[in-house]
Amino acid sequence: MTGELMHFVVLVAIMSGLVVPMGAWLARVFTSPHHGLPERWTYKALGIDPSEAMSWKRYGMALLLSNAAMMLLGYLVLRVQEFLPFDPLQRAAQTPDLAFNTTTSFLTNTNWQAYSGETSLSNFSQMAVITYLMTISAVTGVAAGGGFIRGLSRKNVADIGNYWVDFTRVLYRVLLPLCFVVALVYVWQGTPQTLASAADATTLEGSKQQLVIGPVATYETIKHLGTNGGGFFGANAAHPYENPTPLTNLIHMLSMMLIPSALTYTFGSMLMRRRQGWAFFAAFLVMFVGFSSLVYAAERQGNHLLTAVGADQRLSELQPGGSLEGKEMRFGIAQTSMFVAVTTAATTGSVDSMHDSLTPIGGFVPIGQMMLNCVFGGEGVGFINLVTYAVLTVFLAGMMIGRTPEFLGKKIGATEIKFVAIAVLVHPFCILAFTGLALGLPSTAQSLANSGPHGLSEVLYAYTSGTANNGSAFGGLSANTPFFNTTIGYAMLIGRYLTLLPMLAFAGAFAVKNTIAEGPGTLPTDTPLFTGLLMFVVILVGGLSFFPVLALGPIVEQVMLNAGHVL
Amino acid sequence: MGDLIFVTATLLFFVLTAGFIIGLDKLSAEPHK
Repeated sequence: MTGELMHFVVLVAIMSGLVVPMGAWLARVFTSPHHGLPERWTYKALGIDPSEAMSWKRYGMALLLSNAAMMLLGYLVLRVQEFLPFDPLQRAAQTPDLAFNTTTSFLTNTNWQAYSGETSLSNFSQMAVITYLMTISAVTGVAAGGGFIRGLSRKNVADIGNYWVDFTRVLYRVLLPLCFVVALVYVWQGTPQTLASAADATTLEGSKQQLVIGPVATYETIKHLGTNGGGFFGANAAHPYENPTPLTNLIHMLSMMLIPSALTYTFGSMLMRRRQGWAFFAAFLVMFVGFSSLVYAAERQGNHLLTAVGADQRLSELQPGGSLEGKEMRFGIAQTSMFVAVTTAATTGSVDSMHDSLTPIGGFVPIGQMMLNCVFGGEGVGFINLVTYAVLTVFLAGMMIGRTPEFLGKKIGATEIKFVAIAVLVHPFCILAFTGLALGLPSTAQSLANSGPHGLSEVLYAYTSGTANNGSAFGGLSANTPFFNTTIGYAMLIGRYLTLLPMLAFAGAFAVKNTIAEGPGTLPTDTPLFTGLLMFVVILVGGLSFFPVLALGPIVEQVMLNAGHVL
Repeated sequence: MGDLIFVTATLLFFVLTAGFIIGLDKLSAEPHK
């Protein structure tokens, strides 16, 4: 047990230790007045004026329309895949609804997969669509996070920076160098990196087997550093080619949390409010430790009904114990629980176990984290979501004491609160409306592997994962149907843009304002008290939005399990 | 036919979202009461 807890301690310690260097690096990227040579060439080639100061509206339009163009390009490639190179296995093009779902998924940094990579995509599609969009979507998120923080850091100006400059710098200065280094480590650890499509192997029984291979190492790097998550193989990070050693498992998890956690320090540096940045980091960390502990405790305890029929689920020197259904034996309970918590906290969606096989409360953790969407969260957007709740917190605190709320030395007005309200409400509305729609259709039952509360959880998980731009699948839901491909596709688009854009508008409105002197009625927002209040508001809003549906899903399933009922 | 539907649906979403941006911008330009 102590050894298992050390896994958590090591992960959190290394992740925390990387916050300062990575955060300082990002701050420099967003504030440096100098443009590098490759960047200047890029601006010149694309006709970009890097000195243009963009209003939030122009910044948001540039983000949106460039994303639209990339989506159409990705859709086209997937539809004509069979005519493109690098595929001796001659895999057929995806159907229109599946191609829509796939491009939407990777464009929005979700990486929900209604297909299995090794049977559905050529190496060309894996590189030109999937890896390309994984990179672009991550860069888009981090750039938006930079523009957002810059908007918060300014006063009396109408711009939040230049989207193209932020985008180009994040790509050239952050993600490409990081990916290059991490890819070399993965290759060293045994992850394949080749343009060949398959290798022939002879099994111990003497039969022939074809093993799909490809440019997996480069795929894995951006998959985790970009909080993307879709697998090169259907088994995702449980596949030995994607995740060959305990070291790659650890690097996967650290990669996922690297940028989301570091943005708190970036924020503190750019605003010269380091204590505020650490207060946000503390909120992230405490919520993450709480959820990690919950899933670990649930999986370690196992299923008492199995104990009753003679199964030994105790931890011993000979076995890892706990609930091992759906888990990769190489990783056991501790590594699996950490991966579950990390991948749904950082909204990556990469999995090294089958979440459908988690105990009910264990399954509650990934759904809950995705519903809150601000336990570290995705690249850039996770931090934006936490600030959304921070503004809501000062607003609620202001209402309680009858004062105009202040945040970062500025008064929060009705307009800013409207932006926050839109961003906060879109997320649960999208999840619950699509889940309700799907559950109301008789055809949904044919896609489910389970009935009752677990079946509800399978549908709820799918739309939560899509809207939160996580992308992990609970499993048990056959989602490759025109209905699910289309509705989950729209959930991903709504979850990405209709929550991000209002907060860019918030940053724009905030940048225009002037600062005011702090008074006796000002609520300090960089104290442990505020961090606690912030977490309370996050849990409160999440609970008010989602408790009824959670009660009908994983919670009632756990209650029934405790009472000895099995569906 | 399927391609036409999904390309149109995609374009429609992004056009409506561009309208959403314009709406948000008008909201931020409203004078405070």
